[in-house]
Amino acid sequence: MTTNSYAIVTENLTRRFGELVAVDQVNLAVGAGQFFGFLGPNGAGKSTTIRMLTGLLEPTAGRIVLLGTDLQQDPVEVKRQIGVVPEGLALFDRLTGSEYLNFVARMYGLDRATAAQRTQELLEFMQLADRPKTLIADYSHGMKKKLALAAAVIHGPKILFLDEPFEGVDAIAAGTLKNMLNRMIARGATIFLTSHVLEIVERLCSHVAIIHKGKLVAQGSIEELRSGVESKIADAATGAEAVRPTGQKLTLEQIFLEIVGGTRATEQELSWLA
Amino acid sequence: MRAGSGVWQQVWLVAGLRWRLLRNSLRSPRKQLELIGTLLVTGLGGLVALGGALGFAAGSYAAVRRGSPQLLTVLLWAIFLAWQLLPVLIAAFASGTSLRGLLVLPLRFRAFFLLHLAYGIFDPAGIIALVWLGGVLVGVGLAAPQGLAANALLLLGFALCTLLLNRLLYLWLERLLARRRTREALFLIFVLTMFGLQFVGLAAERWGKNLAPLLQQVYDWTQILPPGLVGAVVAGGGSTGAWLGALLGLCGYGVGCGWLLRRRLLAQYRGEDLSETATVHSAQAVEEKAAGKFLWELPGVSQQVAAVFAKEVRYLLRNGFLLLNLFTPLFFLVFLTFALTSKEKPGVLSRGPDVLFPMAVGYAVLVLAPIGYNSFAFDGRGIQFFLIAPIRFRIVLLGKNLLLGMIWVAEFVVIWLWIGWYAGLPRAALTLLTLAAMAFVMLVHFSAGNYMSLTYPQRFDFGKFRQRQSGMTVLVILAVQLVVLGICAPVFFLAFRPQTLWLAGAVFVVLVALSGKLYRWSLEHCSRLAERRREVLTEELCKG
Repeated sequence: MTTNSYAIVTENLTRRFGELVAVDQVNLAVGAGQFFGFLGPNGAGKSTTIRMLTGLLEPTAGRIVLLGTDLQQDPVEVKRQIGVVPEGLALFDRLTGSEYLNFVARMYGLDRATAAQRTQELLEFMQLADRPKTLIADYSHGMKKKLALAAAVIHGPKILFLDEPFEGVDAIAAGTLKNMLNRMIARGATIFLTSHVLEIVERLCSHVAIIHKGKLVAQGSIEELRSGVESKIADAATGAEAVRPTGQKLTLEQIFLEIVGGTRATEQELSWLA
Repeated sequence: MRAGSGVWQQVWLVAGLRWRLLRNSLRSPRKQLELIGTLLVTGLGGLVALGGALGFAAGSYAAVRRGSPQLLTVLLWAIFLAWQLLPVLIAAFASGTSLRGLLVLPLRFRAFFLLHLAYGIFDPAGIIALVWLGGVLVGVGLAAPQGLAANALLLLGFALCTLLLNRLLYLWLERLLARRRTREALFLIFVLTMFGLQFVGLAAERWGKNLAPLLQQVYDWTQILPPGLVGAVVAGGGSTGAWLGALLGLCGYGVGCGWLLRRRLLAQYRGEDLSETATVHSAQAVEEKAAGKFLWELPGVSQQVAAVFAKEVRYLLRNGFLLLNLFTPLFFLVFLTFALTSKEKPGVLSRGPDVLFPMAVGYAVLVLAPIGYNSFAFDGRGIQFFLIAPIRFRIVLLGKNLLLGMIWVAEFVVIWLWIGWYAGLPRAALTLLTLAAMAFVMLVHFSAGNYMSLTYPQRFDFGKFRQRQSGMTVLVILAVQLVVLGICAPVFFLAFRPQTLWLAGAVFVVLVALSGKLYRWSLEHCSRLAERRREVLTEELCKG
């Protein structure tokens, strides 16, 4: 893959908060058209990374190149081509859903007719059209997520950044979101998402990267990561004991736990709960 | 916090929590500066409180020595009303902390109740009222040292009643303002009351003689209220029976207010939901004619600026308090023109439209200017959109300033029309000079306001009453107001003399040009500043 075929490239991306190095020299390369999952335990640096990639946070060091353009050099041009659903969502609570989508469309430079047409289509697709007079403040959490995603795609971005899009969302809303994301991939967009729900990531994403304590510890397609971990396990076990039934693939959760070194600690007990 | 903890232990734990929150918040230089600003503003308030206390001491001394219960009653009424009304007027310096968040902990109800009272005492209005009441006690003590203990007990009872009523009113107001429908009704009542109050003085002037018996009757009736009860006994030198009666009356009021306050707090304690999300039906009342109505075009500005402008208009129309702030100058203008242009009261203020017009515009500017100093207060998490959108931040500031600027100009026009109708039109030269002065002041305020909005952002919630502005912002607003007043006032004195009118005009032309340059420079500067302060903006405005 040549440099131009990458949608997202970071070079030694670093962010410090005082003494704490939240993101430490991360080198990411996400190919155009990939559905990319960015994983890591709590506090690993996922949100910090996505905030830097979307221009919400300034890196301490390093470089971000999106669609061949340096984010720091030309932020406006880069932002024109990306869509973002940030953590906590970027909604204006005192607008109605349609007012908000129209506002966003205009800010991205869409003309009046296109803005109005896309707003209506998106509201209907996201099943939000039946409450046109309701303020966003009165939306449920799932409705807000759907609206935020609608706003992120209204201008037809080439890259979509999603920070925990499925957090606190019920199965019906999650279905609508997944449907929308698959449509985006089908039209050639690149999707970069962080999520704690590894089953969803495994089902949706073709490629993943894992960040742990600020450092990138794995990157590649899920198959590449799986074979890497399987050979590591095989080497460690030296054929003495099988870690799983023969023929069964490692799940993404097992791969993730192997890579970040986490265990489901059951042996450790709390004295007052014993 | 363990469920078994004692009430006082819980109160102490919460006090410790507040202290730690304050101490931890001072880790950043910005918060330290904010604290310095708040302390300076508090110092100014302290001077007012102490000055007032001296006045109250002198007044109550005179009332007791002369045996004038009316005078002492009036003084106590002043303290009583100040304690109830000051919290509304000095919301900018009030505590923004809500006790509701503590209810996730096993806080006992008695501790919750006591904490509410403590917040009432340590509220700036409570402290000022207590300092003034201390002044009354000193005055009464000096005038009648032999009855000091008995009078002190009555004044203590009076303070307790006033405190309980203050907390009760505050909680009810908070509840009513949390719901859009009641908020709108209250807003209307408030506006009408304000409007009506302006004419009380005028009515008294006109029908004063006929009102005297009515006022005497009102005074007699109010004698059964706490200020009247205490004033009559302390300054009237009543018997032990009267003293006991007053004390019992105060106890009655205290128990009544305490019982009602307990009921209100119990509702909160049991999980009453004040958010507007709970009232979906009221939200349905928000008008939205058609989606297309949002797609405004404004001549001469980009579609992004127009979009921000349209969004700001929607936010303004849905924000009763902000609307009130914007229209307050016009209510007072009506009052001022009635009150200060009387033919029976000759003076500087009754010289006619040439003086009245710049003064009225100046007053409007005083009220309007602070609004632009925390421009992102109501945007909340929406600030993230401004940072991820493909625009330079100056676009956002321009859109916001454009709306405020249009309101300034609209108020200028309304004031001009009103003065013209009531007292005759001001001279064209004076009108133009006032317009130039307003343009100068507006551009200076917008420049400073944009900078402060990015440097000291504070999140405000729509449904919440009394939200705190940053202390540093309040200080900067005061400083800028003083500077522009110091520049404009002498120039206007030049304008009032025909031979130096041209000079005043020339000065204002230069000032407008300079402030225009300043504004253009500040837009660019603030655009870069917003890039650098992305973290602070999102941290402050997205919390909660």
